[in-house]
Amino acid sequence: MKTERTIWSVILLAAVLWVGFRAVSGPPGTGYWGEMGKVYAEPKPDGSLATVSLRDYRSAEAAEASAAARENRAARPLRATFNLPRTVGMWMAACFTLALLSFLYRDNPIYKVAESAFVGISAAYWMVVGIWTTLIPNLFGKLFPRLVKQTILPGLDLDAAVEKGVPEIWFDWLFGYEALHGDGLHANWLQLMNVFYLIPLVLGIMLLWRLMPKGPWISRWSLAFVIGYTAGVRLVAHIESDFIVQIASTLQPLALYVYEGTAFSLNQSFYKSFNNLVIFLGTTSGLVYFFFSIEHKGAVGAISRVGIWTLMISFGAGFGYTVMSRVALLVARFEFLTQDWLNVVAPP
Amino acid sequence: MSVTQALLKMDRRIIFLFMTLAVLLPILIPKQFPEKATPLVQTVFDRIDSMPEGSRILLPFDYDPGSAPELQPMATAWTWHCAKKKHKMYFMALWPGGANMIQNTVNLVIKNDYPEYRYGEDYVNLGYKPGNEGVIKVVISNLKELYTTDHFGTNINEIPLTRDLVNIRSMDLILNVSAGYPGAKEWIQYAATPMSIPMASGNTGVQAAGLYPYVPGQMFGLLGAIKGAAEYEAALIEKYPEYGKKAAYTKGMQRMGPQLIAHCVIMLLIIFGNVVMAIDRATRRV
Repeated sequence: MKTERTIWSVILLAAVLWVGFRAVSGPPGTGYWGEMGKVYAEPKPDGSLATVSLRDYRSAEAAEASAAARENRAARPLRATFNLPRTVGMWMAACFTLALLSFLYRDNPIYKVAESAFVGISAAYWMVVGIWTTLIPNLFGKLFPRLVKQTILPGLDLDAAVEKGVPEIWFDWLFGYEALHGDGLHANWLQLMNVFYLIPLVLGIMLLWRLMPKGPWISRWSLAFVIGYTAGVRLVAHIESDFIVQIASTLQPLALYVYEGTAFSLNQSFYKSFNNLVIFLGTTSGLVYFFFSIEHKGAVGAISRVGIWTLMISFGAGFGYTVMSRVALLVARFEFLTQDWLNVVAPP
Repeated sequence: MSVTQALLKMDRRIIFLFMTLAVLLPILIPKQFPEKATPLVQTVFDRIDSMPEGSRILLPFDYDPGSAPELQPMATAWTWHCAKKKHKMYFMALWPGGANMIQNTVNLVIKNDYPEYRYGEDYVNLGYKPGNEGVIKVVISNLKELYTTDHFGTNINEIPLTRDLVNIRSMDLILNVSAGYPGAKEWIQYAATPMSIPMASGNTGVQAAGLYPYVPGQMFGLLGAIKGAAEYEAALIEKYPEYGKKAAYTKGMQRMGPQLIAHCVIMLLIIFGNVVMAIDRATRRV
């Protein structure tokens, strides 16, 4: 409990000191407390609404007060106004951010709520994206193009469906719909069906059969198709890009003579030769480490130890980059909290 | 309990507090550190800068708001640079959120700084298509097989930039902003390597280490994480000082301040932890 009190005291004291400093050091009349957490938006010529950061709004407002800016007022008048929905959005974003960060202190119900909301929204988002960008245009739009266009996707390109398919031919040939109903708006919605897309429909249903109490093995057929297709597509690309070309990139000349113009450059020659040597030694020693048919003793053991070091260095580089990534995300969240939401950072 | 043992059992939340302060303080007291482009970044800058006016550049923005803090500065810098050099830009996305990231970038850069740049004639947003690497496999042979309209639903045959475009093999350059799968690796495997299209990518830190083997054979340059973005911004400012006048354009450089302090704190904590452990071991032996 003592540690907790210390941590909270430090955080609260720092926050109070900083807010107090900003309150007394900010430009007079900015109304710091009144402006906290507000979003301004400006209408654009194309009808959209662009968010204007409080900092931009304040600097534009200050500029307008000056005589020079008044002359330019006609060129770009300040039309930003307070926007309630975006303000609510920003407050929700801020509250969710704080709720998720609270896990660093301790697991708590507020964190659980934020986590559940995030998981739920993400699942719903991906489901909606899947339905509207894949299932409807790529499957149902091919199977029942006229029906889909008339009901849920008016933007569907029927010309493309007609041009690409075999579709209407089989149905006309079989049932003579074209002769009965003509080719106009009254044509039957089944008329443009591309029958080949029944195959992915059936495979998709078979895949979902896994959820049924009986016959989950049915899904294996679809899964086998997916795995086979993916392996086939990727194999060729991997062999060319990640195998053959990578071998060629590794086997570079170990002694390079670099000329800058007509003059021999010792520095560049050494640097590039050394670089190629490191790549060659690092790759071969790494491969030796994973070669288990020979016992790692003597020369082989020494080379494999170099391989371990090479691997460790590459893992270290990967870890360093990952830390940089995560810190960048944290920086952006803190920027949002301090600049956009709380407005506690002085303009540059 | 000795001091070393107490330190070894220190509450991990104190370390979190250090990290919070290390990241927060440079934001509250903004301080930018000088950056200089490394060869990998400078190569990309020089390539874009030296291409003739009107070159066709494909810009797949394969990321979403989750990775925007790292990647948006690169996307902004590349878009500004391409517009500055009057290149023709073809935006597309393999991530659902990518289409909106393209639009945000266009609104930030082109509509503000290059209002003379006309949609459809100088740049086009082809939007998002599902299918991951399958999309790349199709567009390298027949773009219109997959793209019948742009992001806004305009027929692709009515857009001057895409009217006569058969496939992406005619692109002079691919500049991919990538956050993972599908992204840079897929563009290398299915477009850059088999079709020999020059390519550079801007990546998250998590990806970057795994993409170095592709340079320079299959990619001529790489912008790794926020550091790569900051270096590119520095290169831009060095040649075009007006780029540095907008705070929204130098987010990479701004974010390197907290990065520097945070990395120093992490290194100090690692050294400190090891020293304490070594002292503790030595004390126990005695």
